[in-house]
Amino acid sequence: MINPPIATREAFGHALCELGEQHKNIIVLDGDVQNSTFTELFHKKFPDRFIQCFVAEQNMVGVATGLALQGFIPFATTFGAFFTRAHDQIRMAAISHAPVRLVGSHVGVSIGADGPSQMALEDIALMRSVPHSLVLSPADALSAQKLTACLVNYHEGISYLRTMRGATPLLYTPDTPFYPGGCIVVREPSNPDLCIVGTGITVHEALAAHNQLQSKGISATIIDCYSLKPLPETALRTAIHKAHGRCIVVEDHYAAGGLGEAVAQALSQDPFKIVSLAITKIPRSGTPEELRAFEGIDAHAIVQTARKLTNL
Amino acid sequence: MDKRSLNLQAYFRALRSRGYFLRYWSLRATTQAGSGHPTSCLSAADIVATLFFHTMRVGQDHFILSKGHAAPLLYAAWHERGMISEAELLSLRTFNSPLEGHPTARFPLSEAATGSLGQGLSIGIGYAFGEQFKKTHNRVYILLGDAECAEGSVWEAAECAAHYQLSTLIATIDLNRLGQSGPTLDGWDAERMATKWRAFGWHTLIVNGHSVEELCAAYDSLQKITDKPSMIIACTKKGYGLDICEDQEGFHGKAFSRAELPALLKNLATRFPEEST
Repeated sequence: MINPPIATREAFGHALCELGEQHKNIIVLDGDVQNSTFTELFHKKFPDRFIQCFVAEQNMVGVATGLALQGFIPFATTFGAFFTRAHDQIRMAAISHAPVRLVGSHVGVSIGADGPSQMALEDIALMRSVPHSLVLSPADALSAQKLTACLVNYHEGISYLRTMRGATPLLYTPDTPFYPGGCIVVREPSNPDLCIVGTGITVHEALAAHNQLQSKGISATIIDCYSLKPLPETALRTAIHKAHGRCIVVEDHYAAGGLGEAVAQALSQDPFKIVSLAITKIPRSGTPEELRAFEGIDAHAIVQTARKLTNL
Repeated sequence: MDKRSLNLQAYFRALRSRGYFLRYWSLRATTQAGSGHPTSCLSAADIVATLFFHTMRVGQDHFILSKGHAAPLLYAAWHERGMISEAELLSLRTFNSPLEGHPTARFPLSEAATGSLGQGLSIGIGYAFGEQFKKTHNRVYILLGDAECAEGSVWEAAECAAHYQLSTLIATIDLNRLGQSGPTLDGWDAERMATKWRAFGWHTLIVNGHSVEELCAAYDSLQKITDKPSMIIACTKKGYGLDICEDQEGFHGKAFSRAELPALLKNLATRFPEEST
């Protein structure tokens, strides 16, 4: 295999090292999970620009705020779930106009056996709720690399990158453009019956669903909505309009405050039928595949929903 | 008395006078605004006076008001340093004013937005690391409340600062015994509070927070500490300077009315007879 699947958390780790070469004022902070978030790579390369904050995430975000206020580019990194206890520090960073970069790994039920305590299932909601925040969710290694750079360049508020535990296949080539407010139309049939919008792992589930649907004579536009905030509203509207106004939004995140609600809110004035698939039950230990099936966000669930939506 | 000690007397009187004016302006501004936390300012005024007019290299060293509700003190200190006009000072908490109820980024001389307690020390650590990276090693002064020290995040920061031996970090606790709705955990048991900070590895001193002489000596003595952060526990009285509210419960977050202010300012002046002229 020329390009083996690689986890976005790992791709992020490598990207940070490269960016650290160019930008001498990048400082990385860790909450004692550097070997899980892959910031250990930066630590090895730039030991003097790495601050171990131990298992104290509130302090870590506060320290990052102080650094940002002095013009440094701090990356505070841990599991996405553990940023929830630092929500106060995050919202105060926004009020300080401190552009802290936050990277949350191990997102969604897809982390598997560790169970719900380790799963980020409300991180999109939390980060979206912070004024002027940038919220990005790469589906593959290449977009992870490019979106990490977007965080470096974002000075207007706090920024957040969502990374996954499991390895995912490469979807894009180096010339694919990624930018805040963008999205990638991964499959674009000429006369789609519906549009499926995913982010992160659900882009891959949507692609699997696309193939299954094709065999049933249903054609679907597939969109990788990697920019959760700002939302690519115009591109989504255009694609869904082309697909007879039918859309499924699917995410590995609780429904409240997630991608589904964001899309529904943005397109609330459009005559669309938008169905949202999200995590609705407290998850449990299991394999990523079992859990996505259990929660109804896998390819099978997407196919079932698509058939109902299109009456086909 | 010899010339040197006369000069020292004058020096400390001038510093006390600063403290008097910080109190004066905190009262005037909060009464003008119709809201604010004057008693929380009255307890910390001598600390802020010492920091701004004796200890800090203003413009180089950093000051973070972790007890952000004492914002009027911060604004008054900058007014005393000539950076804010009286009119602006008295625009506290109004819609178009950068002088908000708790410091935000809209006030350019504020080093961080605070007000949600327990976060200033962590931000200060960020500043201390930043100074290290820049190799400038300017000092970072943080003022905390005692009630604020119930926040776990304060102790996360305490641990971190000591672990990294951040000797440029100098924190002060305004130990005024009273929180918002009642007395604090430690009250005036400064030794108990000090024991905690020493256990975390901080160089810790206890002083009378209304003695500028003691405060000056304490901050001066920290120059020689190179391997740990420092904590000054300043024993104070909430509402210090006004007979009506000094060390009294029930005055947190209450601004005095325009009707009662003249008498209160007179009271304050009689408490600081040499410094108020």
